Amino acid sequence: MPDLDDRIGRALRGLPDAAPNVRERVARRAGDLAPSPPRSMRGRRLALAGVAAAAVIGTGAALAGTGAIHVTVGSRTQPDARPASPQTGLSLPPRAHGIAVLAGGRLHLRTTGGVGIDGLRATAAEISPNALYVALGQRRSLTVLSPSGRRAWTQATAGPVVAVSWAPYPVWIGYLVILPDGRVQLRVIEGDGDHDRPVATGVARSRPYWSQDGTRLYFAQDGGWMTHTPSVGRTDRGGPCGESCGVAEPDRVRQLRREGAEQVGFSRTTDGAIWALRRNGAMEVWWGPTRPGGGKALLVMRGTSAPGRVQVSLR
Amino acid sequence: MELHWDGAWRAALAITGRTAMAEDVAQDAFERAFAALGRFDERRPFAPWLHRIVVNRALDLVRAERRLVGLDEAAALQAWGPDGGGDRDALTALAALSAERRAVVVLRHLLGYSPPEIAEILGVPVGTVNSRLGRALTELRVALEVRDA
Repeated sequence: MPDLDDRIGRALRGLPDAAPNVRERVARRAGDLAPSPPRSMRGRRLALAGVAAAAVIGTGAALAGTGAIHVTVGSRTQPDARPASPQTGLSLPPRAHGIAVLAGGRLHLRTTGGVGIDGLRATAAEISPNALYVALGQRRSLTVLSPSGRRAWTQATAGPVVAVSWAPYPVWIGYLVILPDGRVQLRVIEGDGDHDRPVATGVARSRPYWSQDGTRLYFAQDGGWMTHTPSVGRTDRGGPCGESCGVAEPDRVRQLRREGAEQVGFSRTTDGAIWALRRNGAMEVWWGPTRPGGGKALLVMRGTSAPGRVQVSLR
Repeated sequence: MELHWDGAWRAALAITGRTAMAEDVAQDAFERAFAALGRFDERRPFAPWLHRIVVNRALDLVRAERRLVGLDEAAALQAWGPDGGGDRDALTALAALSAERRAVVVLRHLLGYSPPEIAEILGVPVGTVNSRLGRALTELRVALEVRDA
């Protein structure tokens, strides 16, 4: 078969191109990360090469910066080459064991265990009840990071994971997946990544939540709340909620009035709440008592164009 | 520069066999490459440097994924052309190769590198490259002969 080489080459060159939005997104991010205009001629040439590459890749995509990327996982640090202009500076509030902020598809996270993430792409995220593990939705997968920051396991999913909810004990994870047909499916997986199974399809895109004892999962469907009681290694069906359901929706958004601000995220904690605001072109994350005037700013991300709602969680 | 994108994208797609993973690889590779432009030696060609990042990142992802969920040949074919276009037999044979052998084939037959250059990109001896390439082509030849028979 003398033409094997040619045939393989042709087959590989015939693979489909990426969707235009992928090129555009890659170009935008690459442009963000290109070095700042340097002083030396050598640096100028490099920067020009970077900008030109991004422009060609993205067919003219905008190169405006949106946020620095700086990932610290355990003891591993991968700083970017840019000055940390819009650095987040996320810090843990007193007595907390972990904090996660997901804005504009980028995750910012700190735990007392030493895991720090700034700018990781994610579609959903929540810290485990003991603040040791982190569950992440990343494109078509659910991933759990271990206390060392390494990936403990990954479960492939049929679509993007848009919400994650850890049970207190035993360790279950309830999560929502957007199916290819657009419907939202609630699934449950055990904490070690075993026995992933669907619970209900066609549920509302509201984050599910667990009862205090971790035995029941509540989720929104058909305008009401439903409950589901998972069993180890078994598939169960959801059913309508009884009277106990829906009385303590912990993440129901409570509007906190702040001058000139739009509230874009809210999550209750044991002694108050954590919430996100957008005002004056910045995204702010606050924590503390929910009374008027209460709370303390934990994080201000200036110059972020993060659209949509912001997921915030505190342990 | 257009060639950088086309080559990088198709290499990522061919090695991972999944569009979503290829997007991750392409994004990571270009981000890493551009973030490190300040450390890039401009006297050297840009393409091998970028392709080294793409291929190694793709292999890392595939190895991790394989441990956790396995790679599905059918899924790869779906990502490689849901419209049924292209040389389906050749793509099917490529999808059946191990990721390491597929990476060598991609570097040789898509990106046009010589075995010594591939060895440098992958960080393995030239003998290993020649061995992987030879076995991969044997596998492909046998698979295509069976299909064409």
